[in-house]
Amino acid sequence: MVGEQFVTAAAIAASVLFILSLGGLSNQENAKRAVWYGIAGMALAVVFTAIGPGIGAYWLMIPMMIVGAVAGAYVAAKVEMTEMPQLVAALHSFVGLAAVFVGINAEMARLRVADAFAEAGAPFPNPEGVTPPAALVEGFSAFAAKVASKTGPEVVFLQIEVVLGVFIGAVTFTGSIIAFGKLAGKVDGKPKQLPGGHMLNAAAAALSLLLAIVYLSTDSGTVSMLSLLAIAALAFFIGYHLIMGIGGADMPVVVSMLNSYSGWAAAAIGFTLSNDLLIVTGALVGSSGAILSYIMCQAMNRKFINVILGGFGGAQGPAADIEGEQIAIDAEGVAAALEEADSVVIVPGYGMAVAQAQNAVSELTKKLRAKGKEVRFAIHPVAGRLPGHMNVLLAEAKVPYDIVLEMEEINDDLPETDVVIVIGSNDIVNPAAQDDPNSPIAGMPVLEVWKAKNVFVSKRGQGAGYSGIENPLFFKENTRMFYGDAKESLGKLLSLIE
Amino acid sequence: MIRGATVAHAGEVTFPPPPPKVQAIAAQAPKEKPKELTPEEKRQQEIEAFRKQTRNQVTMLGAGVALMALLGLVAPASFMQHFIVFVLACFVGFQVIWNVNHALHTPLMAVTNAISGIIVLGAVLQIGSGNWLVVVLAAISVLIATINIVGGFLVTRRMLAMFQKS
Repeated sequence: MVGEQFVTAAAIAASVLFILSLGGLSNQENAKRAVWYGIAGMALAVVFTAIGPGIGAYWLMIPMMIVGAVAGAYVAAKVEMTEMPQLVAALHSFVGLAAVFVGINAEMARLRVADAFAEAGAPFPNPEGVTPPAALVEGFSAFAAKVASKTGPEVVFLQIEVVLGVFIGAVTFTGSIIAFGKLAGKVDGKPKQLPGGHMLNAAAAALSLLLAIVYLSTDSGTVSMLSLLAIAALAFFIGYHLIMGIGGADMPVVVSMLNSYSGWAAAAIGFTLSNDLLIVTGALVGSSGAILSYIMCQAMNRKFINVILGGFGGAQGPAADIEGEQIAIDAEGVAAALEEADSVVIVPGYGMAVAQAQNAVSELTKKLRAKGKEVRFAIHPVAGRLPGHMNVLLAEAKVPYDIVLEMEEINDDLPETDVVIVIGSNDIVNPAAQDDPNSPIAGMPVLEVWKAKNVFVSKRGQGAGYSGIENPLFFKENTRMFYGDAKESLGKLLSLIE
Repeated sequence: MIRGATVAHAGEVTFPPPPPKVQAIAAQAPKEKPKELTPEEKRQQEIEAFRKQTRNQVTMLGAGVALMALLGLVAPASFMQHFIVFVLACFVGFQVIWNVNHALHTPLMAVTNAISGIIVLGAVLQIGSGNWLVVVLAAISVLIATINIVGGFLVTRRMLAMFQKS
């Protein structure tokens, strides 16, 4: 057993290590070291809290931790990189559920303390300046002991924090489960809502607020517990219904948002338990998720609120008509153009991952680079199903990260590029975003691939993509369509390039 | 002189001939050229923008201070002590996360996921006290939060190891 001061010391060390582990992600090499800082910080925090004062039930805690660790290690080793979005969503739901449970436990501890005080005839919460009888406080351990020494306003704030923690946690839990289902294809990706739409969400939120007032003002233990559970139930509904109403294509923003919520839930629970480490960590995670959501919305030129409330951007009037036709090309033609080219840029989209064509792309890159051609990748911020997802998929296929560039880094070089190959992406290379103010994606920053000398688009067939928006790029003079399954077409192409 | 021609094939005459292919370019929307600005006008605009920014920032800061003061009126001292930690941590978070490489956003999500498993501390603090229901809920929380921590860190490590230089 160690004293409280050691637990605090460990918490300070852990906070610093967490900040370093996030800061290390500023570049790929530092990041490999930084993840160990995070692991060390977590180990310190858990071990010192567990051997701190007032902790018990090791017979249960340690087996649970071992089972959890084995399960976590198994999942981490097994998961496919294409399944990362689902995994992240599933893990968020765990944090949400844990926050709900810990919040309900805090409420039970408060009720237990209140009962004990009532039995002993002492007032609870303690009036200002009155210390509770020592015998009473000593009867409790850990969290309950802290509650037993709280004054009136402190208990009110404790309750507010419990409500916040439970509410945010519950929204995170069901929201993440639905996001998981949509990403994994287990739930229909189309936006679907019960009749009443967002009015239902608003009504549930208003009812929760009402119940929170009841919870704060009641003296009866049963009423307060029931109202807290009802708030949790309503929040479960809001999380479910809100995310059901958002289309599959917007899930990257949703997952970032839920990432943020899981952090705020942890911070709220940290306030409840008066634990600074939880507060710091929750705030770090919360702001991280918020920034990611912001970056994703910027990359789609949409307002965050517009994404969350569903519906696509403001399309006014009919889209401009596209004249001309799509001209197809076969593998021989693409191969010939590649032989002649000096600089090649590949624009991958989620379609590449769906067709499992990453390895073929990597192979092609290797061959072209061996011939002394400059090959680079252009990544749009919303390519893939998660911020940065495409970078991980390419890294898995052993594409070196220094030739994988961001949109802003490569857009200026595209006019001097000989060949651009677009694989399984559509909206992120759509010139209508710049030319056609009536397009649903007008104003969205896009990769200006049409400025390159030749553009080859690898696509399964004619027709608009995932979002159903026509793409004038396919009709441009310098564009040729390379139809067929991406993996097969690239395989054919590979055999032609020696 | 160029004229459309038609071909008769197996007794089938296609007339009139199919229209020639139009140029494969989308109809160009007429674009308005932005007006060239004189240096004075530019300077004027910059000053305007700077003033507007200052006004916005001062308003936000003022609102923030007022909000803090209101909170200070009702909140107990112990809450305010934790609140300062919270606000500072948010600021640190924003500064640190803006510097994260965009290419590493997926590992960032995985690692924040892992460290948000810190909620396990809440469950650890509760597991030893109270009735059986508290113990059960805390035990489940310990279990799922541990999955989160271990799964999150290991998958982050696995992803980061894939990033190789050429």
